[in-house]
Amino acid sequence: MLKTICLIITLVFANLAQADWPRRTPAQAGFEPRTFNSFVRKASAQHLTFKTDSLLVIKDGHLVFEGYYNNYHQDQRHALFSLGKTMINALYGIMEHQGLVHRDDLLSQYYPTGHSSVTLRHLLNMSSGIDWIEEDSKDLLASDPWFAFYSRESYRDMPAWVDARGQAHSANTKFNYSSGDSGLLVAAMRGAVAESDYANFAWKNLFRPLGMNTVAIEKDGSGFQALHGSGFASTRDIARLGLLYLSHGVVEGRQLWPADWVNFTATRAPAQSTPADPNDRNLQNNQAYGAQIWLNIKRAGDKARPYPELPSNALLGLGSRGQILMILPTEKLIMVRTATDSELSVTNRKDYRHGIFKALYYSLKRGGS
Amino acid sequence: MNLTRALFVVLALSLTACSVDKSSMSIFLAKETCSCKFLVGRSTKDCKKDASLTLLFGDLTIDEENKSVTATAEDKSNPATARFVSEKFGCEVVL
Repeated sequence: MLKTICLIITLVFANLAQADWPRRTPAQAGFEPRTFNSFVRKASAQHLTFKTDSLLVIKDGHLVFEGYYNNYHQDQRHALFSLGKTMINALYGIMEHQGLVHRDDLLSQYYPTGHSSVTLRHLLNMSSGIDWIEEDSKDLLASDPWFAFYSRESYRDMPAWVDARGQAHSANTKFNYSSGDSGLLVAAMRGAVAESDYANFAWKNLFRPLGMNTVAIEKDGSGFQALHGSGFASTRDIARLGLLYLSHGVVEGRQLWPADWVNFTATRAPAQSTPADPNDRNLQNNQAYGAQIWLNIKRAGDKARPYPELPSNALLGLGSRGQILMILPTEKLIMVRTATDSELSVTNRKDYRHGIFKALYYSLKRGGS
Repeated sequence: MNLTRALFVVLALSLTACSVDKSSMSIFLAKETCSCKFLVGRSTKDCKKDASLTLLFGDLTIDEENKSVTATAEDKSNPATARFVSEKFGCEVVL
């Protein structure tokens, strides 16, 4: 009897969790069908160094397209790499709303850091000044994330390995895209929540309320949940995260974030008020960045936005090997792409993204939206 | 493609030659393959294909029973093992 009840409960919950999105055809959703098909062909084509594993489009809360390739399927997780940093942003919004942290708190309030002037805001804006090269123009494979995630030395305790670095710049004076900064946010999160709550905090406060039931986060040797590079989620769950930004953090009538959180997230890092240095060794440093998410606005000195055809309020979560979460708040449009790309050139990777963003947005414009 | 691969391998080998830790490439292959196989749930064939797309190569031993992967990268670095922990926490590198 008990078994039957359990089975029924399990089935009901499984159904809720997998509750299908209402669907619309591209035409019903406001896209021009012909150009929408061109977008799909472009974004799902398998190239030598660009291999799309899944593609999903949501417009006004309706599923418009969903495709899986290379033997991936709907319920399967995909490695997120740096796309997990967007989840870090979401979790910090939640923690601030719950009074556990404030963005202007010092890192030292939550983690025994050697960087006494660094605040959570600096870390969220990738502006801690802590020495780090995310993608090294001089030697791609000598880039810091490689060692951060795949050397025994750092794996034992990822945040400690970052914290041992020196200050290359004073805090908040230089934007420097750094998985190290995100790793320290992971560390501060553990300090901000009760140790007994830590194991489940992200699931209880973010993933479960959003119906994101596939998320997994791998831990380092000290038990830190390495969401800055080792998260996993299904394509649909990545889209669910995107929808949270469209609803300004409201889930089923409940506010998860402070009222200004999306605005803060979409505000360019203050350290980007000076032009990008063309000789910067870190190849990830030349585009506009908010709080753990990329922006489509100009940095000081830029002639054009990174993706000129796209609206300036676009939010872009990006991860290694081609993971993309594109959020267009005004158009209520979400696009997710997971991939196993192996393209080495930063320029080619950006051009590829630009191509599919442009194709999708063009179809929407042609459709009259 | 071959040129890219050759370039990448040269970079990779020079990296491991300079790095403090001689097993990064093996750790990479072991951890990524473990996650691919036991967390993502892809076939051994697909996981090996995915690993080869990174242009890093090595010997992979997948232990289906104990859900672990041992890798020895082609730079002859020290072997590394990663094991599956849970659906929630994925794989971990055995230290």
